[in-house]
Amino acid sequence: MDRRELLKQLLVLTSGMIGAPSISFSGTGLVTTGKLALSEDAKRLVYKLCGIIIPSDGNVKGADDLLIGDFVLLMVNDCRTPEDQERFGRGLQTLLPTGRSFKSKDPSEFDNQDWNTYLTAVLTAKDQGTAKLGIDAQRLDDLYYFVNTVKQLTIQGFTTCKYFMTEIMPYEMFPGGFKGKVKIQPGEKVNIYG
Amino acid sequence: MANLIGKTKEKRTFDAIVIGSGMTGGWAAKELTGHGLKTLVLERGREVKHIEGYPTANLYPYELEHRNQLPEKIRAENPIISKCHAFTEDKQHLFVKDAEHPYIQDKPFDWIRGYQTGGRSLMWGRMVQRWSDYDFEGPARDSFAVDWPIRYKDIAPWYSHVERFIGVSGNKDGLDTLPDGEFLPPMELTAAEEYFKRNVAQHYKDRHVVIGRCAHITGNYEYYMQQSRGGCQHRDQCRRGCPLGGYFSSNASTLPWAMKTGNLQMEHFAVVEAILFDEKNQKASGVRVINSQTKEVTEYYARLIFVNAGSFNTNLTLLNSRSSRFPDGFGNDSGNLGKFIAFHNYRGRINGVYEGLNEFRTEGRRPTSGYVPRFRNVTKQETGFLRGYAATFSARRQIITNRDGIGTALKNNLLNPAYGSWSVGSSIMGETLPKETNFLQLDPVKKDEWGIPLLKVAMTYDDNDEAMLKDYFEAFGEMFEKAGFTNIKATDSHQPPGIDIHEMGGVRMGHDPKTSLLNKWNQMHACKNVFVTDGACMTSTSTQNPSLTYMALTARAVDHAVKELKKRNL
Repeated sequence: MDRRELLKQLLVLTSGMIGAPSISFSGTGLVTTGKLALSEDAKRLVYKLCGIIIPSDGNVKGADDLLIGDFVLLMVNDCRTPEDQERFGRGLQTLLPTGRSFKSKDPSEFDNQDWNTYLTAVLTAKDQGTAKLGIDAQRLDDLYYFVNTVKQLTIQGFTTCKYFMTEIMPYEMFPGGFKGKVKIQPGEKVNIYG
Repeated sequence: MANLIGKTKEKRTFDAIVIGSGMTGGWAAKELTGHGLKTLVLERGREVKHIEGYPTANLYPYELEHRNQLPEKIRAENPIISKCHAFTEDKQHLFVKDAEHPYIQDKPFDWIRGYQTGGRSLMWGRMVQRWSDYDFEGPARDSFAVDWPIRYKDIAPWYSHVERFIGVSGNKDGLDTLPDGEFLPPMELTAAEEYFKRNVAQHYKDRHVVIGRCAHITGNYEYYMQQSRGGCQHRDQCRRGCPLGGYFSSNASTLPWAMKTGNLQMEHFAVVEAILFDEKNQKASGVRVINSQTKEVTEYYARLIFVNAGSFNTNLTLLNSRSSRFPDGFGNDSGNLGKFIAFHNYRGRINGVYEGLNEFRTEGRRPTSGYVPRFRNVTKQETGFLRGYAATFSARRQIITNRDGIGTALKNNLLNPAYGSWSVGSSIMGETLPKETNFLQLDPVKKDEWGIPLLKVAMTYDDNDEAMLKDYFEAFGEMFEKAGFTNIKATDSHQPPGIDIHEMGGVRMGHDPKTSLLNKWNQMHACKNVFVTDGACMTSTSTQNPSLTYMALTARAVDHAVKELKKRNL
């Protein structure tokens, strides 16, 4: 496209942008189910897990900085079936203070390293039996569902948030074209939105 | 009771009435108003204005509250429309929800509709391949349905007429199965698609891989500025509505064009209950409309009626238009109204992996795919089934993100994805045969909230479709193997008809009034001032995405209608 044509395109493009509303779609009447009633303790636990799953560090923001916990709860609240929400709640309940111990500690006494070890044990427990965690198969099933749901939604929330899609792997709203055959340069950074 | 007080009869009288503002209604409006005819377009849905009617068009993915997933409550309330891949958070407001306009599935059928200005032209797939004479001659050669009353030469100039106006990106491939058109520059095949194209050409002289021709502006920008449309910016968010007018929709193109003539009037929330028949003049005199919101009834009158309500709704309107002349539905002397409906078989998909060409990736987004035109039974009958299929083909470089573990290790993995192999895939678009046993009827008892009978749909696959699907899996499995693809998996979705959104027929064209409803000009055999030019008119389905053919038939029909008006034959 030559410069003159490009300018024309931009003119049309700009008029389109100005004419289009800039409202957030959250204001267009989506219905929330409101079925997930969690205590403040329970919510704090979910936020805690999000931060363990994708921690913050000096270079790249993590789940805590990006409020990914809000996204996780929103998605479970709005986009899961009532059955899955119940399962999520049962799994979560397992991790609230119970007096039961894992490596001589109640979950309420875990530090970050304990949490990391524990969640890893839950996520790999499917293959290793239930003995290690000291709970029966049904409860492990619910616990796995809860932890894995938080993990997958944390990943989704992280990789689809504004920060990630603008500063880490930019998403171009107007790519302007498509190239079917681009030579990959050595050491090139891979962008999942490229 | 008809509203004869609010507006005088004079104000409710037009030269032409177009029922529907979608793909073909928009074209009818553009052509009719262009000939100076005062035209009323009736749209049963709400008004969606170009640009300002697209509330999600410019939202970044992270601005969608549920990242484009629909809340469970909406999915649970809408089991039918939720099957449509495009029914997502950013586009859900453009689709008819299940409870809005119920219908009866005598056999499973997913009816995907858009009731608004522009209808489904806002959310369509935008693939626009021409038919060839192998398609138009199909029914006569293979003895099904009835002979098409037209051939390629009759429609070719109208394909050109439509393509120039809507803007079609495509490559001149020189194939007799897929005639070339008036193309803007093509989009690119990916490296692995180009490889497959070469490989297929080496092994099969009659099979071809081309870039899909699509209704996107990729050149001749000066010309499209006249429509206030800009070039496609490859956002690939088309179905939200394009604020640039980069792809063709009635909203961006034909309707504003028609409006500029000063000859167009549009009424929204206008559900056409019936077409009125004037016994004295033996012609259609107008339509009776129910306002979907107020339920107020109004009659509009015109010398010319174009029925473009969208295949099955066109059938519904005609079936519900009964008079002493037409006791079984408007124009239904043949008894075939609502019968011989058909669709495209989209059940089959085949996927695989290509390990080569690892030095290449793609860049940007592409709102079309590769396309493999029909190669079965083209010049003569060669297989155990009739007709054939086209298919999409696409290959894109996978990006692999390791999601194992938690904590710092997981985060590092998410920040450092790697290129995987090429993911290759194809989907079938199979021609199904219109049969009398596939039909539409009105329910004798159940009615919608406007008092109009519910439509009953009885349409299903047959042995020919099953045999064709099996052949597709075998043929593409072989092509994939010859190309060195691995991990080849064929999937039959077993989905009922409907999700293809290519439902056709019921008011078919044909030579003989005894077996068809429309003549070669899409004009009713039994009532010359009524034209049907949407998918309902189709005699057979071929293997091409049908919208381009509907649009060309519409422009051609208007041209004929205007000539007949001038000769005072209507």
